[in-house]
Amino acid sequence: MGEPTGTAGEHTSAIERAVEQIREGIKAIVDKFNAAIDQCNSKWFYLSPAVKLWINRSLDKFREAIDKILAIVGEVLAHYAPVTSLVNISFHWLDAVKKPVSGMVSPVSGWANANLAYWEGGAAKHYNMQVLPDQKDATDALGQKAGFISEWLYEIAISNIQYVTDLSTVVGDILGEITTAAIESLDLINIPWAIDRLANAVGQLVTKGVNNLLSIVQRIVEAGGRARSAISDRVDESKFPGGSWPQAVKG
Amino acid sequence: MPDQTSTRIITDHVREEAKKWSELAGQMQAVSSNPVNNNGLELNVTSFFIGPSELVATGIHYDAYVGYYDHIKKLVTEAASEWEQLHGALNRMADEFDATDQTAQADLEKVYTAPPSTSNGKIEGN
Repeated sequence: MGEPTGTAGEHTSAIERAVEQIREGIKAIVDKFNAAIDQCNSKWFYLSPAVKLWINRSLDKFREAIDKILAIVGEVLAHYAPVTSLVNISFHWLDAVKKPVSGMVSPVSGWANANLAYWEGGAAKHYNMQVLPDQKDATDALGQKAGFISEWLYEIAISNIQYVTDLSTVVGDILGEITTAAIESLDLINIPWAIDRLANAVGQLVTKGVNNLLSIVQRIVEAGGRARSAISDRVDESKFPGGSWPQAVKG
Repeated sequence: MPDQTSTRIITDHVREEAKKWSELAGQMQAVSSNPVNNNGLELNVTSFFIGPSELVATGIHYDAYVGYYDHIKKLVTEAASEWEQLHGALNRMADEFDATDQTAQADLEKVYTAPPSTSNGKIEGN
């Protein structure tokens, strides 16, 4: 996956855009679904019992598919705000921790004055061999740790953005089917067929869409599993003896 | 060119090196103050998944994150403190070089032990 690219704003606005499209799409779907029901009701008196049964079954199938999507949409509309902070914080680890800390590695390991090279004897040897390398390695490792957690969060953030944009695509596709079917403008003879066709088409879109969303969920679940290795990684005894910053100075 | 191996010049460079650690401690302290130790990187258990909460046990992500973040908080705090102590240690070294008029030897155990009054970063009068 790698470190966050682009800006946090680009990513959070992708989430907000998708959420807005979902909100508008669902409203249009519900309106058109109700218009289709009204159209059926207005012709109900003229339909034979067998056709009524057929229409009811199609409508149930249609409603079932729409309900599956509505259930997901309801959760997404309730949860998207905390996920935007996931995006922001993945960038924050990179910009406000990893970059400044990595920038300290070179000044930590290099002498403030190159002529300190002329310093000789035991005290110099101790400083150059015992003090500087440990501090440098620890600083380097700290920068890498910040980078690791930034990448881990970013990967989860990207999966969440994928989830919400794919959901908005499913909602848009369902709306497209309903718009094309135009049940509200059909005459009596075509209504049962059109509703049956629509229910099947939407059912397939929803099944395919939900499966795709579940595969994205799987990636997020797996990222949680990988967090276990993140925990063992942070016990890095060679750079941080006893889990602490290397202490050249006692006390 | 002055004699770069002279006791006075090397002692000056050691003091310069001490100042380097003080500056680095300041930089690390800045990272510590914001965002590391002001909870500027805090996340919520609901931050990890946008969809139906029953699909992802985000407590696993959250616990792992909090543990990792706590560890980094500790390391950043310790680094800033250690570097401030190195500032003190190298100045004690330079003082000892001044007192003994040489730069090869010092009581390293003493130099690299923070005096009790400053070990926690506080400054106290003598």
